[in-house]
Amino acid sequence: MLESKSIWVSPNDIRRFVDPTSDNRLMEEVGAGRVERLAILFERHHVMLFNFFLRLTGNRSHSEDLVQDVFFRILKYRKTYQGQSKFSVWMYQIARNAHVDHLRKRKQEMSLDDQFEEPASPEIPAVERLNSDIDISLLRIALDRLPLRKKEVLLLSRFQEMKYREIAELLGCDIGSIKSTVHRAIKDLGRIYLELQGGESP
Amino acid sequence: MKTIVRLAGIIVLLWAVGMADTAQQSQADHAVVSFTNPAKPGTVEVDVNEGSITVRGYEGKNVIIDARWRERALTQEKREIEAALAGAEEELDKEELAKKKAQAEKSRGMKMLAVESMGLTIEEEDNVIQVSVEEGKRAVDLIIQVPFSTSLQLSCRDDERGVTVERVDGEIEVDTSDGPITLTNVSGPVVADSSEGEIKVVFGKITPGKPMSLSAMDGDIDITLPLDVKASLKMKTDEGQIFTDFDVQLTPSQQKKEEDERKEGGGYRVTYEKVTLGLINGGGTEIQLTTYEGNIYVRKAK
Amino acid sequence: MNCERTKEFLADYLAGELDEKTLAEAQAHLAGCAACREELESLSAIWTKLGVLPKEQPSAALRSRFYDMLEAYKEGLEKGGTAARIYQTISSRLSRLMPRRPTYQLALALVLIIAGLGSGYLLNVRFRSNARFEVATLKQEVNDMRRTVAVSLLKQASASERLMGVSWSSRVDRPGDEIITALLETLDHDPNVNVRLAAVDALYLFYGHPEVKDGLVRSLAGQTSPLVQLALIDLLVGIRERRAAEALERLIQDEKLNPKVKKRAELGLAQLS
Repeated sequence: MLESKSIWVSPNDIRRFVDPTSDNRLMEEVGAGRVERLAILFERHHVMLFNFFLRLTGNRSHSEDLVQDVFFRILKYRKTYQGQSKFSVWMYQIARNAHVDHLRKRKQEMSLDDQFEEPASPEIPAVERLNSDIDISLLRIALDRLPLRKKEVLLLSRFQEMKYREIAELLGCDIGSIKSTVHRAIKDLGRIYLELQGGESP
Repeated sequence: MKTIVRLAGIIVLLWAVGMADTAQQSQADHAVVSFTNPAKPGTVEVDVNEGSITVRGYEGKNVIIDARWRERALTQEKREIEAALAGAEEELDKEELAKKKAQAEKSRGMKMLAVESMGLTIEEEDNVIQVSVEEGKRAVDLIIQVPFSTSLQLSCRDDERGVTVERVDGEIEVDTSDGPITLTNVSGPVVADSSEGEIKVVFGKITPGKPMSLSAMDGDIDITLPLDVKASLKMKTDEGQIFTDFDVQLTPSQQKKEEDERKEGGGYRVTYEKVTLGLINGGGTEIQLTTYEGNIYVRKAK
Repeated sequence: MNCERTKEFLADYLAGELDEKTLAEAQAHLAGCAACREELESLSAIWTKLGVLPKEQPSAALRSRFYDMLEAYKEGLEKGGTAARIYQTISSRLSRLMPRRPTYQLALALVLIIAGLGSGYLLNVRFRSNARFEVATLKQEVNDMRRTVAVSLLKQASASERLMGVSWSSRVDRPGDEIITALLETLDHDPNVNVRLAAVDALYLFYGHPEVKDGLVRSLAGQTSPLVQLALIDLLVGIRERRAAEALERLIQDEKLNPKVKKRAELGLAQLS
């Protein structure tokens, strides 16, 4: 017997059920005292934030600490958020500051000879995508070798889905220089990646 | 921004080419669709009334759709069933009517392009690509290539070939009526159900923290998990057995007991079985496996 | 559009932020300029290649840490906290409730250092005497938060998130109308069989509520999936809900009913009479 597919609720309808509360509004509520709203923002953003830090630091446990740090700072400074910028822009400003503080502290604590920790699981999965896995490692190393500024801008636009206008606002410079930074970052990344591959074309 | 217009050109062009090969058994369509924002993971939703869906992850940023139409037309029986289902629409209550109305509102002023000859409709909006087949059209086998990070929502009825997915890392939602569901080298989360088909999933890795659920009426459920997975299993099978080669820490569960002694003048008692709960490696990702007649297999990746 | 300008728009092209007009102009230039074309292709290749970097997931501990911190902060607020008192609350709560997790001590230290209170603060933590009262208010806050998150998750487009919403809903102590209504809605209208199945299990926990029993009986008539029908029948019979008998009878009359479901319904009917 055929199971008749539910004909009155389509995927389009579900999208309209989605909670219309915007990030901005939620954060304003947090500032006004309803701090439990931060939970929703956490659920929405923490994975992206984690990956941002992971790609910056290469270390899983530091990245988790940094995510926690960011949300703590968001709580601490919740009253300063006035909806003047998009929540994610504000959050990544905090994230960058947290990262800078983290770097400063680590410089003091450890030698500069920090090992690159491979964040992926050490077990080799049974069904392995051989080609892709080598690429992933090389890409990670190449990314790590980019200077911090270029790396940040690249990550923000390629992975954190920020518009150039927003990144410019975040870093406090003009949109043109952001675009040329992206251009140069990709070029550099490509060059380093090629070198790592031994001069073969990707 | 919708990318329908571009597609129409391609489809019409290929159809014209296809027409020249009328001697061939089946006709093929080919379309390449890009997401509004290719840097962001997208979603592909496919709804096929009669046919099969095969999706493969690949290293590109566009979605490539190949459609192979079969000669077989709908049988008389299926036509009647379609008619019966259409009749059911009369009984929509107020709430559902409102929803339908709202949907009509949303698409007002927009054209949904249907390429009449082939019956395949492809729409893209805001990183969601929807592929659907008009009712009454011939059966079709869709072969779709997507970027690895894509999420999928696949639905197909009336077919022995069912749904096959390989190397896709996004969230996967599948439902079929007859056909099997076969997912290989995926990381989930997977939410799938089938009325008569079997469900087989081989995970390359598991995206932690996202619950999954697989349900089948008649078919077996067969999943392969990475050795180091942390999972909390919730398994229920009415008439089948549960097999695993993992070290599963079980919580005791009641088995179903049906005692009918009425013929002997005694009583009738049914105690319903509880779900079997098990933890692998201490527990973690919630995985629910439910089947009525089939068996459940939870395998270690080799 | 010359080479200079084309280079400018490269970043926009990669990010997909180009408007049609500029795209058209650029394509016109690219048609005739091999150097720019090459540049675009090689940069485009790397941009796309970055897509293979997998999206990693943090450990489950991250979420627990966050929610613990949020609860502690909320508690501190409610106590009329000044900044110092709030952080004191966080530290006492965290260290009291998590004695055996060293990473939390580290996290705590990090938190306090950032708060500018110094790691020496850890030593000065004073333990509260009225622990029971605090645990009660804490539970209340955890509950409120769970409720908000659960209801929000139930509305998401992703089936997995809705599953999470059902799971969170089932962990709410004393659910209010909002949760019950949301679960019943999910049972009746969610397009995914698996989510509806999960809703049946969750509602079982709250069957003490009169609206739940009513809702379950009513829902039986509208379900089309045999698996959900089976689960509902099992549940209604399991809790001995006599009012379900009528719904079961009507179900059995339905000629489209799956024979296995019919068999279970008949058994159930016998059980309830």
